Amino acid sequence: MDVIGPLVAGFETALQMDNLLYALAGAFIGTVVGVLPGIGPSGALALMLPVVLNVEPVSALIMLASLYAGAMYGGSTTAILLNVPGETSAVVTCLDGHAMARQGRAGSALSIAAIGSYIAGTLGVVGLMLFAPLIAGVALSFGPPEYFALMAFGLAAVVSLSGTALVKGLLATCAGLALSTVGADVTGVFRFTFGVHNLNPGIEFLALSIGLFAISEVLLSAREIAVGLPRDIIKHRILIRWSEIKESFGAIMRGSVIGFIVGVLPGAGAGIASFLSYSFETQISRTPERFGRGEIKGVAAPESANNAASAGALVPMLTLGIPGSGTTAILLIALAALDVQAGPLLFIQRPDIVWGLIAALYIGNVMLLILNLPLVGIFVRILYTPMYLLLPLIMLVSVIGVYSANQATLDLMLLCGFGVMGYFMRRNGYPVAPVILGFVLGGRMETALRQSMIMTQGDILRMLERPIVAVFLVLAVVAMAAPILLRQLRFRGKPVEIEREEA
Amino acid sequence: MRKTRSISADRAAALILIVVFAAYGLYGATLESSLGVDYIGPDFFPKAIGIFGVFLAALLLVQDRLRMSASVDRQSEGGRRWSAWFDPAVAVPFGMMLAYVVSLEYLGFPIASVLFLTVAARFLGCPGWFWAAAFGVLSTAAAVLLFRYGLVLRLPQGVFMKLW
Repeated sequence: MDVIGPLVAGFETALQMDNLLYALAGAFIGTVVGVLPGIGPSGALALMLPVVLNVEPVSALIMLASLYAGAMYGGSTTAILLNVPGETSAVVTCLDGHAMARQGRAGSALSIAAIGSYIAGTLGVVGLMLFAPLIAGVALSFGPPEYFALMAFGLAAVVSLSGTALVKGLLATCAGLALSTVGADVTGVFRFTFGVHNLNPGIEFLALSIGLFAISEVLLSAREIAVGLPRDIIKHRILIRWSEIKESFGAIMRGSVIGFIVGVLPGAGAGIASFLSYSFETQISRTPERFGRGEIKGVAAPESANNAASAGALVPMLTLGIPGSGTTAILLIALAALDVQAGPLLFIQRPDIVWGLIAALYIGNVMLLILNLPLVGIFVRILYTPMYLLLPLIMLVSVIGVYSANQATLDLMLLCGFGVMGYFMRRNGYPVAPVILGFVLGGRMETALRQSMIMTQGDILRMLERPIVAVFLVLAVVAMAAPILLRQLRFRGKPVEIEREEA
Repeated sequence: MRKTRSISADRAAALILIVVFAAYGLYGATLESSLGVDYIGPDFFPKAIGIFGVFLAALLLVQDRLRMSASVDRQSEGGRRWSAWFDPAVAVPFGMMLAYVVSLEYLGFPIASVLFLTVAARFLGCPGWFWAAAFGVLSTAAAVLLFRYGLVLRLPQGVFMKLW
């Protein structure tokens, strides 16, 4: 397929001054809006839709593409600085990103997130450009059994998220799986709602994620202040070191590949991509014990994966007209409003739109880097805010983010409840990320398993005859067992340190 | 030195989780769909998670028992007493948060937020009520401008709707 000629034509359009300004505006607005928990990429795109529909189609797509890239990066800023994950894909970034911020390395964390996002986003666009039609065909071969096996493989990430507290990590995953069953299931049965109508659609993800991470952080910090524990004044380094970039390069490349592949699968999403990428890094690392304690690869890998996944999600959208995520569903609406029909004929009928969009994604990624690297110093200054101002502000922003989802006071009560749950978990050595993992994967696993059983008429062994299913299930077993066995071998004869969060 | 018998936090958690997961699984087992099911009904996942959760909680109990029996002096495990779960130092901040979210629907976002931010900042060490109040008013104003008017997000209006 000839790509050079159409790509050059796409760049000629995208590099016009007015389109460059649209790209810059989109990247800036996307970053700002992405920083706010609860808004996220799909919220940012939805908010800007009425604005962009009044401009030329290619200009509109350029702005939306830059907005998308900016919002994906913006979510990592609050995750790193404040331990507030505004969306699934930022949850894993909280683990090492916030730990780096507490060690005075917030500048390095934010910078590697921007650099990794840029590289992965660019590689994702290359993948989109070269392999879109081919990959779309493979994605179509993924049915419910394959999705179930992929989710089971995703659950293996709990091992890497748990450190040495594996039983506690598995319990946390079970808690997440249990929480995912709250609400109406596909047969119309209301499970564990106990007559509360606001629980019928299920527990709001933001209440859970922000509660477990941000509110628990607020409670832990408030407790430290209340009991008079001294807080060291940490001097934050703004600039990232070249050695840190070199150290992270492998993780960025691996995260990009994993993220792109997972992103292509409709419904898989950037969140699952970031969990898988993080899990993979911990398993191949020679120093897995450093993850969760400020390991820079723990930021580079998931941030790369989620940006590559967002490019991957465009593959089924452009080639098949199937939205792979909520964000691409909004993009499809935008295309329809611009009188552009996504699908197999798009590349032939409207090459200007497709290649203009691809060129816009390149430029959006560059804008993201140019805009956000200089802003790292400003973002880091947030950490110098006195705690008596910062903690109430985190609560305020969290309340706004959660309330904006459903305008339900119940969600705010759940926010506080999950905050207390997160507080007790962290004080007693329970990892909180597996709760999110279980919650995100639980509903999808159940749906995929149900559909698979219908497809195979109840014969679960027929699922294993599908090669992709067998491969993923074997990988899941290996991914869970290998770190445990390796840890036993490594620590044989030595006392195992008990991990405990104590203020 | 008199040794105090106390339940460790892990043991207390394990016992509570056994009860919670058992109740969850047992309640889940009673769920059934009036539409009929194809192979997997609404009860399958809750039962499976309940069984697995009880097993893991029991494992945690055993792990804790083995750890405690290896410990020479139980007093050294004081930091992990179950009573550490009830921490008075966190009760006040949590109470403020709860009061804030409950009051939002009645007082509305601006009033409730000003009150919360002022009281919380003062509690956490802001020097003086004046500065705490200034922080509360300015932050709330900025939030209203950005979220309510800038991003057109809906915020709790409270009973004083006409003030919006």
